[in-house]
Amino acid sequence: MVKIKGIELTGFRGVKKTLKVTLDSSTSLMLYGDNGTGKSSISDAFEWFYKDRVEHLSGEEIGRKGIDALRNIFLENGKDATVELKFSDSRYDSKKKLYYKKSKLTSEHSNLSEEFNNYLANSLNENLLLRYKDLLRFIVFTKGERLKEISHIIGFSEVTKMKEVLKKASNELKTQNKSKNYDSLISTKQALIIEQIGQNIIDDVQYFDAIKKLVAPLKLPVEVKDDRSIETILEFIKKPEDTGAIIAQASYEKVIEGLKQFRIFLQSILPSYESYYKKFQDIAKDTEKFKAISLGGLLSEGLSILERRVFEDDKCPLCLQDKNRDNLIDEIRKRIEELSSFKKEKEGLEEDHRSTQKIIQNALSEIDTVLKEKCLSLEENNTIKGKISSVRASVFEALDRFKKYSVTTSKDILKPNEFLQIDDSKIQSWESTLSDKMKKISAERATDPRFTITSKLSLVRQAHKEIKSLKEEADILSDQYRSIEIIYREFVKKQKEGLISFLTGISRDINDLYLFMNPSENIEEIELIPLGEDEEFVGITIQFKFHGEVVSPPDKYLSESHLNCLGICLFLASVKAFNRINNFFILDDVISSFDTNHRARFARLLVEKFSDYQIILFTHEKDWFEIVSNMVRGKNWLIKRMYWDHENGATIEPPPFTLKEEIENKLKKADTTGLGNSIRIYLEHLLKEICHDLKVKVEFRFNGHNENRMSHELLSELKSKLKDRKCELKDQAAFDRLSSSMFLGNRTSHDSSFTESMDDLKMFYSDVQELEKLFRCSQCGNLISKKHYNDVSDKVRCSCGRLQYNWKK
Amino acid sequence: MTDAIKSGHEILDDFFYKIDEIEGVDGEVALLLKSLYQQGKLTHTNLSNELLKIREVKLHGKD
Repeated sequence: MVKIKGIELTGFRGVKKTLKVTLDSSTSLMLYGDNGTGKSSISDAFEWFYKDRVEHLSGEEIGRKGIDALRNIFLENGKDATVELKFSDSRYDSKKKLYYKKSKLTSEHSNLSEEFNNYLANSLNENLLLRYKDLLRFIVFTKGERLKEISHIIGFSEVTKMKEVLKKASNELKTQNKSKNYDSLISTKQALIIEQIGQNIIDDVQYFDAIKKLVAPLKLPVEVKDDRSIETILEFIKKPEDTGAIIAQASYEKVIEGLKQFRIFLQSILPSYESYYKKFQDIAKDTEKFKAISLGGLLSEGLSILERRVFEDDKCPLCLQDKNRDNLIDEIRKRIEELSSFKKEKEGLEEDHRSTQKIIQNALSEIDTVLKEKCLSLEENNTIKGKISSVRASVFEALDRFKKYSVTTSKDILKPNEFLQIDDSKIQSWESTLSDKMKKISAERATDPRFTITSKLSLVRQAHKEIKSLKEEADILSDQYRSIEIIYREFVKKQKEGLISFLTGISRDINDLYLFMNPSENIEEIELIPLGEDEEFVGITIQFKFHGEVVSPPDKYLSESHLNCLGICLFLASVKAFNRINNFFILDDVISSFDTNHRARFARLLVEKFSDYQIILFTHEKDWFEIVSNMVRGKNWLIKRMYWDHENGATIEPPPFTLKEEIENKLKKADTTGLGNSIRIYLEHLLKEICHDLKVKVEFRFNGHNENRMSHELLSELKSKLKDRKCELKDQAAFDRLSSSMFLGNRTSHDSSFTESMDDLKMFYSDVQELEKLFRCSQCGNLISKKHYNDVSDKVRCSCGRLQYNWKK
Repeated sequence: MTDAIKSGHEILDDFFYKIDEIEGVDGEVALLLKSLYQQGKLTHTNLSNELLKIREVKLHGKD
């Protein structure tokens, strides 16, 4: 997993020049600094690096996702603000720069590789940064917002989309099955069989038995046993002169059957259209609902354009009025969400539209088949064909009209009794006329049993074949519908199980973390509970046991500090749950509302439960800084202080040699800005080093007092140690000069009326240098140290031995 | 939190990986869904077209 190896900010937020932190991949970092020293510049840098925006700077007044506030205001024109992050996996190292392109601030990563882009995209789903002001975000969310947030983070929106695909497929197969009207088609053909041979046929055995009986009077030498034998019989008994009559009979039969089927579809069209009409009117008569639905498409398209960044300016892409892009996206999302109550109604209407259109199409297709039949091309049938064609034109017109019906574009649609006016009795009379014509063909050959049997055999054979085909088609469609429906139900089950399992797991973690920080406080069994309607989840609530009673929501029962604590636990549980790529997280001043006891517990929680993670902590709270500093001693943490000065802006406490260069630089330029402070810090470092190397001990004092006593006490203890060891340095004037210096009493320039002159500062630095010379060898550069104590001569020396002093026991 | 808790993507991956084990589901339909998902093409239109193709092949093959 990825950890941070280096952070470098230049001209970014509070950093005027360059702020650099180098870590090894197992090191955590704690930065302490007063408010305004630039700690949040680092968290802003992380947020911008990953998200290309800084949420807390994205208000209307700053705009453009906070980008306009990222460049340090003192940065020279033409220079770029940059944030460079180096990782344990160097493939993801990148420097992101913020520069002016045609007077507009633009950002760009130096790493353009696909793997880096994938890393950035995947990191968006991870929890890397928590600020104090975000602690309560999830807790005070509405139930729906919580579900949305969790769904987004764990990728459940993809699951929901997939569920919709399966649901739609299942509905479509159901509609097709219904609109095809297989049962009535099969019944019509069964009726024909009964009419021809006086019995129904339900399987092949019955079919072959019935054919055997039918052809028995002809005493044929062929046995009826399969389809091929029936073909042979037909060929055998068919007379060439009968062929035309048999074809004509079959054709009449198809027309009659087609018209019957058409009438069945016609009867289905009316109720289906009535249902559609009613739903349409319900929506259309409610103007607000109508308007909202009418605008739904526009809003969705607008949101898609904004989210895909087709349009990036802070303007409404439609009216081009100035509008913060992020606020606009939020507003559109809210409006689309409001439409959800109408969405179900609209979906029902669309479902009715699809099924009604399918039935009309089936009716039209049936009548088209009828019109292609040869018998209708006979001159004697011209009138009937004309009438059928006219019916076809009405159906076609109705279908064309119906296709254009949409609640978002049309308000008036035809009433059910006006939609498709076709007289069913007329079609029945055409059927009767055609049936008479068919019977006439048989009647003309009534004395020829061979013709009668051939005719019946042809019709029954055709009907049986079609019934089998229809049954097969219906079975295949039903099988597909059943399969997709089973898959859909199983999918919904898995989706529920997944979410519940996730919520149970994360609840357990939140509960454990919370109880670790708040033992014996009468709060237990914290749980995230899904709220559902039918097969849909609509929200998530947070409940817990409070003095033994199950209650919800937390903000009703808990104090601000306990709510903050819950927010931290939720964040940390999310880190454990979601962070699969990054093994670090940043906590920016999150403990402000905690009392001392809870601060200590939180420090212990981080050290004990998150030791595998690289933790980056920022704080302005001195006691919390002390607590963590003590707790992580020897645990590979880098502890640094931050301060701010006019020259550099936000700066991390530099190591002494850099500080020395800085001091000498300022002395050369006669620049007093922050110089006194720098010399004091340098002296403090020097004394700490000397005392450490000579094992000079200072009296223990409680946290909080250490920082204010350092140079004075170290000087005093060092001097008394030198006396004690009869070291010749004990009487050096440098000690007294430094001890009596007024600079030691002025820790910060702003809390004193004392004004430092360049001469004063030069003198102070000269005293510090004199002290250093006494203890640091000019040859090897090292301080005298107890490590190089010679117990024969009772002397301490530097590593090369050139500088040595008495050190009597 | 234990590794047994799955993200949305993992739920989808697992579901479609084991789709042919769901009782009562036609093997061809299960295979179709698995294949479309693995290709990243499981949309309503694609699914609808492919189901129609299966139906046509089944009917046509026996004609």
